[in-house]
Amino acid sequence: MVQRILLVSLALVAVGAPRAWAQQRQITGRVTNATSGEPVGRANVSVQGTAITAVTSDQGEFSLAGPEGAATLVVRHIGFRRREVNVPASQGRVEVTLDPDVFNLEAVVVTGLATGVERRNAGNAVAAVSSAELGFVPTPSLEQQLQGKVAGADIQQNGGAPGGGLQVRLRGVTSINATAEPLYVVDGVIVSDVAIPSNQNAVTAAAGGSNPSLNQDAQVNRIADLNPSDFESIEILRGAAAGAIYGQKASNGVVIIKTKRGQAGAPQVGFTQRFGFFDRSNEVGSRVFRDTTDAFGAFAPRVPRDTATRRLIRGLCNLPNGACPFFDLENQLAGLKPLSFESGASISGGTENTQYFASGTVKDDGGIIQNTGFKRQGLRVNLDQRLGSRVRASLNTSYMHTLAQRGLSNNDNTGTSFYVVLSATPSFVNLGRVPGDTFARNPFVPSNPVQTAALMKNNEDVYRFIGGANLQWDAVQSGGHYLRFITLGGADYFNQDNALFFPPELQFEPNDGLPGTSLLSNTGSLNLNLNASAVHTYTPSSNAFSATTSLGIQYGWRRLNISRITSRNLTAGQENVDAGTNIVIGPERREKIKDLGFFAQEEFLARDQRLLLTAGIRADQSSLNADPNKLHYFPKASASYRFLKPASFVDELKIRGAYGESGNEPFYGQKFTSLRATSKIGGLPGTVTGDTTGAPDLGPEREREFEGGFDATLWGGRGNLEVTGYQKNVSDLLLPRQLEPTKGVNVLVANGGKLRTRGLEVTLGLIPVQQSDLSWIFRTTFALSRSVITDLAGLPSFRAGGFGASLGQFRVEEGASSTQIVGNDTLTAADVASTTYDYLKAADTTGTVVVRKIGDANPDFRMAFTNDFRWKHFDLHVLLDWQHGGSILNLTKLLYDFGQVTEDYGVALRDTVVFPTSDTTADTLRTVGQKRIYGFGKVAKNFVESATFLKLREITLTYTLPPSAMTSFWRGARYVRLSASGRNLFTIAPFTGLDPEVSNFGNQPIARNIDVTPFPPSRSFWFSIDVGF
Amino acid sequence: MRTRRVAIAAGLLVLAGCDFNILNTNQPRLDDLLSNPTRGKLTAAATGVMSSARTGMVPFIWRLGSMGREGINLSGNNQPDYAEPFFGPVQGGGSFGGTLWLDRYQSIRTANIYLQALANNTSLSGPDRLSDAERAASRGMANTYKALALLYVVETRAQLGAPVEVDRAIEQAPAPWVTEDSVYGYIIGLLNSAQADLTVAGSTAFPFRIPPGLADFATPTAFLKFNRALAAKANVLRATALNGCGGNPASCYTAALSDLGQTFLSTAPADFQSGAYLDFSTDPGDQTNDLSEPLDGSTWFALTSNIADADAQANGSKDQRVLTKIDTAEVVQRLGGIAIPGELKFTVYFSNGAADAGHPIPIIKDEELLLLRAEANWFSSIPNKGQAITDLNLVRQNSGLLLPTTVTPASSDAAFVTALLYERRYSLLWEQGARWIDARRFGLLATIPAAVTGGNVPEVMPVPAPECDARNLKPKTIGDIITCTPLNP
Repeated sequence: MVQRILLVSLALVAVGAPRAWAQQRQITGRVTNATSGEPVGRANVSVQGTAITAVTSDQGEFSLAGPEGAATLVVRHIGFRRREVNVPASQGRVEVTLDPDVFNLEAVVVTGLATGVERRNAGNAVAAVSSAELGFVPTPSLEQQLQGKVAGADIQQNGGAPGGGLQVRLRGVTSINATAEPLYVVDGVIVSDVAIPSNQNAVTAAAGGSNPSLNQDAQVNRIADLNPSDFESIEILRGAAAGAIYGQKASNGVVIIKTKRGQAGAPQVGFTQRFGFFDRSNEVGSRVFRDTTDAFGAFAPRVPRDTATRRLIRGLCNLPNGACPFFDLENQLAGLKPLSFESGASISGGTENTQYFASGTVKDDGGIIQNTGFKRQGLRVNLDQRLGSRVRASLNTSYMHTLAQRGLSNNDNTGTSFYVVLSATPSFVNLGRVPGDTFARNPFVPSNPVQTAALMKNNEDVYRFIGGANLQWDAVQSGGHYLRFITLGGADYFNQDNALFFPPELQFEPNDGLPGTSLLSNTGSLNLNLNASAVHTYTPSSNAFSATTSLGIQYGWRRLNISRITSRNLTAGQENVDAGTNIVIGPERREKIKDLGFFAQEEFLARDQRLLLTAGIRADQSSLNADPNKLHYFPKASASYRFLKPASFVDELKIRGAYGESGNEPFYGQKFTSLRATSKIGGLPGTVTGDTTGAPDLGPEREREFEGGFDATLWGGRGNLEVTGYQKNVSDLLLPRQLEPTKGVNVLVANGGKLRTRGLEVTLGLIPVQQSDLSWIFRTTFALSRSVITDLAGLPSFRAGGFGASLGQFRVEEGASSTQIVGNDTLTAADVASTTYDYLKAADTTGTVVVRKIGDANPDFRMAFTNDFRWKHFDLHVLLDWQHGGSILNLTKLLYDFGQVTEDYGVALRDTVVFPTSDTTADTLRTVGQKRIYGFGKVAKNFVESATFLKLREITLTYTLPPSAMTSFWRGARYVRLSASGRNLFTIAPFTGLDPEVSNFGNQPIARNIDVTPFPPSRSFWFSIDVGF
Repeated sequence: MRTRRVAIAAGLLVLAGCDFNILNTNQPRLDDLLSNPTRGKLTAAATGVMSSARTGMVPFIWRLGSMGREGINLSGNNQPDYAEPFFGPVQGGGSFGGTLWLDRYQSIRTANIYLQALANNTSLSGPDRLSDAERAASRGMANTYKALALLYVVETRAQLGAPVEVDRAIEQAPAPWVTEDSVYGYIIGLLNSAQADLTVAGSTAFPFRIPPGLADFATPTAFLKFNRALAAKANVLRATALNGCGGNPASCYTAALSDLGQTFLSTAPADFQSGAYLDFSTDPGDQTNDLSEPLDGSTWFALTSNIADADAQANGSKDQRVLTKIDTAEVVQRLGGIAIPGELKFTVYFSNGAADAGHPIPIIKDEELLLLRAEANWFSSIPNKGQAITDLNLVRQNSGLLLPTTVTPASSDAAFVTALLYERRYSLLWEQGARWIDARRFGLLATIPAAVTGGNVPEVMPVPAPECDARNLKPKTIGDIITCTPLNP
């Protein structure tokens, strides 16, 4: 049947093709920029209703053979709004001016794996960021470029370490336990964003404490490998309504990246050179000790008398009258401002049949701590080739190497992590180098972080190749039928080497009796995908509607192997892992995943392109599900309608609504009930019970999302407003049922339970001033979301992150906010008197310690403000990012309190009797630090702080050389720009820790906002020169 | 034509993806062990049973040792590690109070899986099929280890009780909670059942290898001596349990004496350290004895009271056990949160004068059997107080190099208990939390000084929070612990 239609269509081509070129006349014209008056080269000019097109020259001139009689020209260029111009039969030349597309309204947005629709028609809220909005200030990683630019995308850095490690959370909470990262698709290839811990845990033993998570290694999620300056556009599908086409992998949203491509024309070359530096942007501070008496009070109280410590303190506090010196330990550790640079070059161009784009980049970001930093070298070649009139092939390849050196941060249990040591070292101890170029020994903790940083190594080398080939065959293109076959194959391979080295001379190294530690981990990751789609569009000659049908299949294969070696007691301090006497191989992990998806979709565009109806379905099977051959279905549907000029100030109003479903896969291995084979005793291998088991019907989580809203273009394109509300109902959550330990299995992973996330997103763009030499563009985004656990499938509430009730922890609880933080709290008289207090039991009295809600990590709302000013040849870009509300668990402060070195530890209490209980220590509390310590285990909210912040994310001042000045000394130059820029130049936050963007456990579906001695944050300053010719 | 090619290609793709099943690439499969329990798999599973008995025992020793003020964890990075045992409250939901539980029940599950596989082995034939005697020997080993795991559980939870009938499917309701006395009864039942199996097996070789720590018990007949040693210990502990031994403690002491007669008990001082040990090793995949820290290590420290409380030898120096088991720390460790400086280190697990992460940890040794016999003889229904004092002095004079005890058969029970607990404290120092367990057994927790201002010695470890959650019980504060009480909801 299909074949017959095809044959008929082919016949139509044969008959219909020559007719279009029957009668002709010449139309010439010139296209210019409406604001600057400069010519617009490479603009696409077409005659509406025909296949006739032309491309403007660099001078903006075009010429085409148009039909006899009146015609309508449609002029388009990326970065400009489209323009339709009527050309009467009598007119042969037209002047067309194009308005800059400030709000990116002309983008074509994704509707399927091989289909797209113009943004003005889209049935979903669109979040598209064009290359013009990227790259104002260089960043190591793509996510940072998006911060503050997309409503509903909460993008936060997990710590200050150089080289990435950020979480992109789209539309609030989507899961409790499954993956938290969106799906990344680059030129159609699904790429890996896995975060592989470095195994620094072998030294820090962070997982040896009350939370066994190995994700405390300040790991980098691998999207950091990609070079953001190669991107042409980024489109973000925030929820299931838009992302359903990616089925089982899409419930955290999808980030679709298109890289730059060549265009026919003379070669265009661009060079960018940037220089800059990083600078520590915040500090915890440390308590100032007045004199020996002050220090004795903290470290050697009268009873029991501790003569040794007193003698030690007298030796350190050796200024006149026993005054203590003050050393800025944070500055000793993290006071570097190393020169950093980024060099990039690109060339693009091509002929009618062949286009190319190639780029290379070298980046070197220095770190504020010795032996830290981030380097990237990358190379990209994109080729497009036309093979005959109907077949187009394209090839995208990129190769990159990144080296991240991230020091030693986050939680530890061995006194090794930089800030953990600082939290127990009073400020009168000098940790800097002492004469003879050796390092001071820390008498308070057997570890000197300045020495550690100077001598250790934590290198993460990644070599990565991403490549894809795309073949499109326009099988039929006639009589209103357009049938395309598209196949795409892609591969993403990377090899990650983590080499960590802690030489024996480090002060902490002898602690375990095995001086010297060398760690080596190797990861190989391969993602292969193969898509095949057929897309058929039918537009009747009446132009009454157009219907696009697509069918396709997507096959995926993933492999991830991680092997590790830990070597201790290194012979002669040799770094090779075979130099140790205590060598542990493993754990080794191997993952293989196979999946297959089918999709079908129908799009119907009618009513003069004002009405768009879409319906589609995706079916997925995967080896991650308990039944790998069962298909899981994910439907979607959307509708939109455009009203033209509904009010005098409204150019266009689009009402839209969409529904979609998507999934979140179980992790590899969750479905298995296994034994552990790693238990050896006396040289004999043994198998023991595993910790977890999977339900026999384990499958993906399911997100059902409704979204609705409107987009309005206002005041002749000077304003743009988008408002979207959404509700996500996530069911079949992958819940680890914490079994009672007496079962002997800790956790059963099963689908069950529901959560609901609702939110509102507003994007507003205004052009208050638009003149040829003065313009002001203002953009703002606003987003809020609220998530609640509506059903826990009968499970009791459980910890979703954190260390325990005494330290505050995330607790998932039916009916409560998904991101609530609970902790120990002591009942006050008012609590006991309250009748509404549901934790209260008859036995509870004032002073009883209970566990209750002490915070919520979810911010009240987020806003960002972008202002772009242009005055003559100067451009000023300012982006402010504001988060309001939310809680952070500041456990760094707790550690400092335990060390009695918190900056405010010694501040006198106004009310000395804090807990009027029978406890005799209560009335001896004199300082705020003592009060917090006294509250340890009793008042966990002492360590809950506000996550509110306002950051100056980006500021850039650019001077573009006027063409006259430029060409006077270099005729071939297209542009020369000089700019000075800065990132995160200031942060205003009530938070007393380092940075309110923080996550000790890396990317997390729920439990971000836990601060345990992270890497300190930095700001960066840059000076750049961009040259194009 | 082209269309057909595309169709064929698409069709091939579908065919290629027909079966998407990928078996576990990382771990052996449980269903495979149960459905096809070959000799080799059973050997590995048996080794797993013995291996799992060590898991979590290092924390067991330092946690109980902290509550009993033998030592302290001053690593300083997980505050509950010293805050809970020294200041309280010990919390069932916390990283200190909620532990010493799961590892033991995983050990029991490992044994139960092994026992199931062993039963399923009868469906095999040929060399993979174990003989009846081999199966009996294997059952005897597995049930002895199950009993050991429960013994470690009930030592920490005492009067709070614990579940014992835990061999249930994942989807079944939580196991019922039984009293302390019933737990001991169950343990003794398991040990007796193992005794019967081991007796049947006799001189048959175990169908697996015995790790070095059990080298003295490498045949079923020899293993029986280990089994009876545990039975004796269980009976002695049961006698001092809440409503222990059905209210008739003396009868348990009498039973213990009978068990002791079938153990490896020896009065030769050279044999004092012989017995059953948990093996550790620094070999890859093995577990290390992390308690063995060098003198400049910064985690575990002995409290100074260990020296202050020790009796003097005739020559004026301290109890020999203190001298050999404790040394001065090379680096004094101080933490802001607690006013106990780390000045002394344990050398219990040193080999040749140096830290040794491969040093074994005793499960039960001859020296302990003598002290169990002393206690049982003093309190049994037909007391032999003279023998009790003889055994006490045997340890006191040989291990401590001390003068004989002043206790006589005419002394009060309290005086004997004080003398007994002194010997147990120093003979079993930093090996099994004996000081804390014993003080509780005899209601003498108040005699252990808190060591810090405002501190407290906790009475028992609380019920871990997930057990409370699974039974819908809310934790409450009882004394210095936060726990639910499944026996008395």
